[in-house]
Amino acid sequence: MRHRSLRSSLYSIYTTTNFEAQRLSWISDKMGFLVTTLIFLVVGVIACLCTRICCNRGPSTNLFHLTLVITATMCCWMMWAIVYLAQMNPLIVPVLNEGE
Amino acid sequence: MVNEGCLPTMDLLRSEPMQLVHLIIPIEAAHRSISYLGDLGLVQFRDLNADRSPFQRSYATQIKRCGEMERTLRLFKEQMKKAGLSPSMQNTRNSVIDLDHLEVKLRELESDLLENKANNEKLQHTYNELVEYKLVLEKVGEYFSSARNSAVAQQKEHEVQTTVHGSIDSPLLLEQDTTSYSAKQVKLGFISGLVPREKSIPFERILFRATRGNVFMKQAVVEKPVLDPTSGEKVDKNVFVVFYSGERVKSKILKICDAFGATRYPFSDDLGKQFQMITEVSGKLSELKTTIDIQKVLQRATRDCNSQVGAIFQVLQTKESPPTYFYTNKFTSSFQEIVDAYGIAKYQEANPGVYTIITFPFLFAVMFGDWGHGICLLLAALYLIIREKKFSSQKLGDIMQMAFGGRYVIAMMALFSIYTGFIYNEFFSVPFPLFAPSAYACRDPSCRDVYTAGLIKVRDTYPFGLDPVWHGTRSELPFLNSLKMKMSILLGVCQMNLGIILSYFNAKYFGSSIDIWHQFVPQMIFLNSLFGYLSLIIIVKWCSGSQADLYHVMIYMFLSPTDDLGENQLFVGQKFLQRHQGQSYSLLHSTDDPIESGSHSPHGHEEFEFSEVFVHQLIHTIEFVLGAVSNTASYLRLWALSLAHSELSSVFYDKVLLMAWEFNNTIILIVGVIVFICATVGVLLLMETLSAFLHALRLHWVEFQNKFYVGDGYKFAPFSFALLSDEDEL
Repeated sequence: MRHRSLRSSLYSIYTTTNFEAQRLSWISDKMGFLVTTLIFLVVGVIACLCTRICCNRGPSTNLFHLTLVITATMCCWMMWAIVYLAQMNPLIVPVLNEGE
Repeated sequence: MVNEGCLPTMDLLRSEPMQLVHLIIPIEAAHRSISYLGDLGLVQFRDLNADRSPFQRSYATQIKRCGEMERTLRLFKEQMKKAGLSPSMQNTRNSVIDLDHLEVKLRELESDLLENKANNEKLQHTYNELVEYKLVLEKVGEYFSSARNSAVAQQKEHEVQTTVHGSIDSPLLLEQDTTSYSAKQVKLGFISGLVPREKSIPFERILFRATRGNVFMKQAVVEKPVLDPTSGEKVDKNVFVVFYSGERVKSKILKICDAFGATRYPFSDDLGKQFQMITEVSGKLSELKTTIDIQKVLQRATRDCNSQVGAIFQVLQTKESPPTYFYTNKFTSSFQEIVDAYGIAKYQEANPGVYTIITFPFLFAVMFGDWGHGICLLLAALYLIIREKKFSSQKLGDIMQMAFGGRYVIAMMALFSIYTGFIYNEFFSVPFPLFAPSAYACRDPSCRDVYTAGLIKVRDTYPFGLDPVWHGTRSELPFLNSLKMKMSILLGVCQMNLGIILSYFNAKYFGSSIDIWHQFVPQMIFLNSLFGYLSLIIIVKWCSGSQADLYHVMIYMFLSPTDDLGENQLFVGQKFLQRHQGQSYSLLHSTDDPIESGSHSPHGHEEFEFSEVFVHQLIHTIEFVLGAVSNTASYLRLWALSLAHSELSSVFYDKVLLMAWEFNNTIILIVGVIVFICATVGVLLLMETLSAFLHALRLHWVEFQNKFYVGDGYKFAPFSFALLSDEDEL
């Protein structure tokens, strides 16, 4: 298949030892997690400010909009975090299919 | 009451405050006051005469009269529509309708209208008959005049001949001829009329046979179709004239004419006079044949009601539960309807609709995740939203009406689906390395054992979503299943915790601290020590990469909590924590037995039944314990539907589109593309959408709402003219 050969050409080769690679990737994984969590937080805050600026109609409606934005940010972050954490230390590795 | 000061209240969270009021109105102002209240639309009336039949109520006769007037107005509207006029709308806001006056006027006008109608019909009938008569006279007259001319010519010829003969032959012969000629003159009668063209030939044939050929018939075609007086439709007809001799023949001919529906008209020899009269009458008729003018019936009488006494307005205190009202706009109303379909919120309890606006599309998207499909759904929803004004005034079919009503729901679902599509990395089931290259690579440069041992993780975790390398591998399903099942459990535990926390806020609002200590706290402890703990060890296992078997951990936590965990140890002190949880379980069962002295009794005069409350709480406890396990497992449908969606999508892509591509034939490719599009739209965009919608709905209605929602209120239905249906609009 054409697109599979394209993908397999993206796999490059790492030459450092396994152990160092693991340690480095563990630290950078954690950093990656924290950085992206911070990005979600910042995006959430910006969204709250935007809704406050754009549609400022009374305290009750403002609180309602705030609730919606916070809930949405929480849901999106949770989903991303789950998928990211699950891939940090994989117990199963991809085994390619021989059919190509 | 609520507001402790720092946070403002959220209107959508709890029902608008309602008050029960007592209205005493003087009779002369009654009608005006009620109609003004109807215009306002903020009051719901309670039926204080509920035990009386409709005929016993005090205003029954007025209602009957109103019904009668309504019938009359409907009749007018029909007639106006038939005549092609449209009634004009008058603004009635400023004036008061005087119903008595109106009733009398309506009755007069109705009798006028009915009389006019009857007369109109009679005149129309007569007019049609006369039109036909005119035609008969024309054609038959033509025929007679031509016949007369030829007869006269023949007679003249004959006379000439006989006179010529007379000079040669003997006078005796001549006399014989003339007498025999005069003896041949028999008295002939004739019948004239109109017969429909398609029946004219059988008509002639039957006449011939019935009279044994002893009649003479002549027919003439009428060019234009005429209005048949009996049926009222335009029919092609022929004018006929039948000559006969004898009475019996006449009766036969008459019967045959009636059988064929041929209309007969008398014809007199004195042609000119008759014709004149007919044209006169026709002229009169055409004057009358103008549209009967139907006058405007509705009049508004303005009359000031000079009532000296105002209406009395009095607030009542009551322990009954008022109706629930949430103020919604066009965006939130569709989500509120989803919640209301399960049950209307009890007065002033927390409205799950606030969270449903986000969590419902989110859970849908978890089951639907594909950003290609999400974009298609978004386009459909945007189309409905952009054409909002046009669609809301049109009358749509049932299904379109539902889809249009839920356009904002579909839009939200589509937006979240695009997000989860990026997370699952599926665009019509095709993954893309959009954010970074894949984290996996071969173990060694030759890539020898990719088909046996697989790749290894060499780079950082793929930063956003699922690594694109997984699609199509042999270990895709074990990995994804594990990931999605754990994700479902985690999301489920979060939503159920939210539900329990809402029940805490409800208890705090209604001021029942009993509920807090004996319902909220046990529920939190139970759910979190079991499934909260499960969520915790899932996350710990992911972070640490340990190989502990979580099933084993959970099950043996109960079976033998004091055993050594060995290889299943996830964190230090786990054994201690699990034992502690086991102990707190047994504690729970004792404290959850209600020692509650329920302070909530619905009516002040009802007695408090301890045993009833005891049983109620026991049932509640058992229900919660069993329910916790089943509800958490129920969230696994998030995994199941997501798997089904991605498998279906993958099948359609791999087996239809890619196979069609392989053949290198344009026609097969086009056929393949069409099949792919039909399958995607029919199965994935329609069926899967409905399916995921339904399951997300169930998760909300059952698993989320049974933690806190009572939902036994009733909806506020104000008396408002604006809300009356437009069917009776005049």
